[in-house]
Amino acid sequence: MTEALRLTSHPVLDVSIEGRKTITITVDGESLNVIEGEILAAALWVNGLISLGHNPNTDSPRGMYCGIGHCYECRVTIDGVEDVRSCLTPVRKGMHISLQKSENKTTSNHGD
Amino acid sequence: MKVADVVVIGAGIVGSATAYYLAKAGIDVTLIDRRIPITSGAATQACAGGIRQQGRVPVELPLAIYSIDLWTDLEADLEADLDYRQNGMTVVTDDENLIPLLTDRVEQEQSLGLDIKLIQGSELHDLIPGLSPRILAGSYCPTDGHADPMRTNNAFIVAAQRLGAHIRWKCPSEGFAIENNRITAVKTPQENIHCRYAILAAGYWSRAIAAASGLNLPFQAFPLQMMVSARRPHVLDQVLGWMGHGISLKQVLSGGFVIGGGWPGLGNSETYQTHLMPGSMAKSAQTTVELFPSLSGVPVVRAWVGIEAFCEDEMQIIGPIHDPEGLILAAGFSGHGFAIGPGVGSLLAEYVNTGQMSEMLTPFSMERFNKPTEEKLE
Amino acid sequence: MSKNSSSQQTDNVLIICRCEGIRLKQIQASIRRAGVQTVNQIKKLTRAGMGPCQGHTCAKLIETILAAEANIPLGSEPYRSRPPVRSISIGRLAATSDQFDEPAGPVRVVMMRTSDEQSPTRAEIKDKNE
Repeated sequence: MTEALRLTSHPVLDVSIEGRKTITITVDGESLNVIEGEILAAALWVNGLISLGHNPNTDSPRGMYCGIGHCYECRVTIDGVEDVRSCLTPVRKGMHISLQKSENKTTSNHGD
Repeated sequence: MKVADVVVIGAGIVGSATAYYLAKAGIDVTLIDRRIPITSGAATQACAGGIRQQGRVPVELPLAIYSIDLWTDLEADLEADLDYRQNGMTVVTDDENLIPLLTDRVEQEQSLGLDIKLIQGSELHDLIPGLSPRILAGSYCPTDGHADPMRTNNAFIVAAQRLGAHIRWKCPSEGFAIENNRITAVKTPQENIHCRYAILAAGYWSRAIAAASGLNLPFQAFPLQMMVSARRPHVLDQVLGWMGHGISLKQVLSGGFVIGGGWPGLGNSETYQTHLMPGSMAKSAQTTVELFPSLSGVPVVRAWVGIEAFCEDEMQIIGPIHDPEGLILAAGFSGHGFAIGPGVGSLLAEYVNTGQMSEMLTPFSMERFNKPTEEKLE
Repeated sequence: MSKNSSSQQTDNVLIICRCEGIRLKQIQASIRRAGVQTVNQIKKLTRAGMGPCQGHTCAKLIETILAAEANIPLGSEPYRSRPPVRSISIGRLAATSDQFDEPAGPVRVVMMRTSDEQSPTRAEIKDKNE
């Protein structure tokens, strides 16, 4: 269903997926088929992974927001490196992604 | 004009704690700082937040133990959240040849009343999971801990003010007015603040202020660099140090790893401008992954530099000068003032109140330099 | 600034620093209670601006709140940015350490005192590392 959001034609940019290879990445151990060269945040999105984690204290879900590497809401762990901005990272065959599910399991209590 | 009993110069951890304990004792105190608090780039900014009793020069241990006692009630006293935790500290070694040295220190500190012991092998690795397997032994003190330096500094200021202390920001001290060899005022650009005592707790900048009265404080300014990581789930309760390596590693309550260890930054002690030394970031990071390998993927979000005053013998100078009378020093903490800040403040307040200088402070007297008068003016 | 109850409710829930989950009310309380004058002080007391985006999103918002609460003019002291420009993992930083000659080692190994003797100086550590 989220594939329906994908742009496949554009007056200026080449966004067609005709002839583009499909590659496999893993997300939290699960295999995912994605289009080579696609931005990771978009690839996750079309596969239903819109919420990529939570922010601390408010427990509000987070996912790609600014899309330009500014806000860090789209951060994930890639091949062991944490807090990578998925909106800036093209997918690559064999990438191991983990969503930082326990990132905020801290005991901080922000006082006034 | 009303005479303040005491002017405290410098609102870092030592000055602000001193102002608090003076106000608590009912003494009229004015706290001044040439900048505004908690953002001035000085020693309290460079502070890693460790609160330890171990690894100090032996004469300082009673002061440290006394301070930890104050720390455990501090959040209640100041009515503030300081992120204080007393989860212990271990200084480790991966070098067999250093174990006897470590053991000697542990025994010495035990004999001085500290709860500390040597732990090795599986006991060590069970206590601190995540430590590199190369680590062999460590000195574990369960009553060491850490807190947030900025919140603590600010909490002392707010509490001091609540108890009646007067505060003046952007108020530099330009020296002292002296009559009959006694301080009568602290000079500032706005006006002279008349007082009976002036407590000089201005870190490295105490040197310039003291020089205006012919006093040479043997301090060097070292800009020291820190790093902090993004928040992560809790994996480390203790503060870690590593013999012979530059690292202090802790995970604070909000989940970030604070990494210190005495690595140099660049700084101008006149302008307070600081710059990072990228090599220090890299080598500090290298030391971190060698000590605690699982942190390799954790991102560093920020690095910063603060200027610390190192005294030539690495011990702070505390106590009355007597020439002029009324001048009391509390500076040159050489990178280890945070833990003992509350103790120093409390005991200095006691001195002003009673005239009695605690034995816990006397080893830090200026008199230890014992220089002839001519050399004082260098 | 008078507030009706629904805007007070907004203050309680409005998130200013998304990275750290800090709400408007917490920032206002910090300004009112601690008498802060700059965004950098607010940052240190509330953690607003300390998250992964390092204030890129919230710094301007905090400046505006400070202006409204305490009449501090916008731009009087901007949020202090520190390197790294964007976060970099400890492992990647460590991997660059061979590229640097300076520094030879820490300034003072200040925590390593084992006796009344001074801790080793930088020169001594350099000798040890060579």
